[in-house]
Amino acid sequence: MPEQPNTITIQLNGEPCTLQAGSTLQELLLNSGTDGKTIATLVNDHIVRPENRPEYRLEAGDRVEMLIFAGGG
Amino acid sequence: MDSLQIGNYTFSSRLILGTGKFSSATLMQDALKASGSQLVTVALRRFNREQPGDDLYTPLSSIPGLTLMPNTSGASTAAEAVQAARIARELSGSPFIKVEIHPNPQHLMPDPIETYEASKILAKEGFLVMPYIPADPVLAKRLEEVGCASVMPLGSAIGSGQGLATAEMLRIIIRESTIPVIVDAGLRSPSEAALAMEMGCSAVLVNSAIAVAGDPPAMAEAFAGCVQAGRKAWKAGIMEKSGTAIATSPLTAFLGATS
Repeated sequence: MPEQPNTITIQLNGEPCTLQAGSTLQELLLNSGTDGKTIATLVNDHIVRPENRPEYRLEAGDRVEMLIFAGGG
Repeated sequence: MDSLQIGNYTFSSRLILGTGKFSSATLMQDALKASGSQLVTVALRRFNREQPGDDLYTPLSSIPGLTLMPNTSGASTAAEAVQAARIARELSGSPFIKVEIHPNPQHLMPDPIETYEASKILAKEGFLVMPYIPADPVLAKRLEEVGCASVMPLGSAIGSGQGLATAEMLRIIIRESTIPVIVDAGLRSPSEAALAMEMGCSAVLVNSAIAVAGDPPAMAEAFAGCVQAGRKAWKAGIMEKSGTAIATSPLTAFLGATS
């Protein structure tokens, strides 16, 4: 699907995701229904710490991972 | 105080709990409290807004005195495990990492080569590395030499409930190790945890046996009791086996004795 003007497509947890051009990682978290306090974030395999998320602008094609602690042995 | 020392951390409990397979976070919390455990494992998973209950960070944070030991489950290479460990440390704020690399979902046996490579890197980065390993005394020694904080050999396959199938190898590992040996995986019942402690293990890690019990908090309490009993017995000094009977009463005849 062609991108609309002013939107970009990224990969979020392995799935395509369209968002406003210029969106930050923190905005993506909020749009995903979380403030991100219990989530680790990676962009293109690099860890982005919570304090850097509000300034981190996402670009088309970025691969974003949001990870939590779930049950495990 | 007979405490478990790992790195700069001291634990009064020698029962480490896994948090997988519980039917709810509340039941997991109740089992954790009943167990008295102070060190618990968690796994990294992708966030899913449709399943907010998967996120255990908040439920675990509500229990005072817990230290998190994230695992690298899902990694099938050393590189993946190292990356998972670095991510996990961002979230946990804990130096503990359970290196868990099992590429084959059919048997979930740990890959000794990838585990060794990942452990070596993570120990250098300052992690308290707790590798989940096959019960191999040579591998255990090599991991000790590269700076692991403990070794965690399996009793039997993950979730199998086959108990201490590797008992003889575990005895060798315990005898040879100067770092804590923690039996991880395969324990089915509290008596097996007691036996592991009687053998001289420093701790046991239990997940399935508690999580899938009919009453997980009660089972957690039962495991805690057996771990304490086994430890106390090991410290007290368990008698040697003998091939012949050794009388506990005097054998001097007196009934019908003639002189």
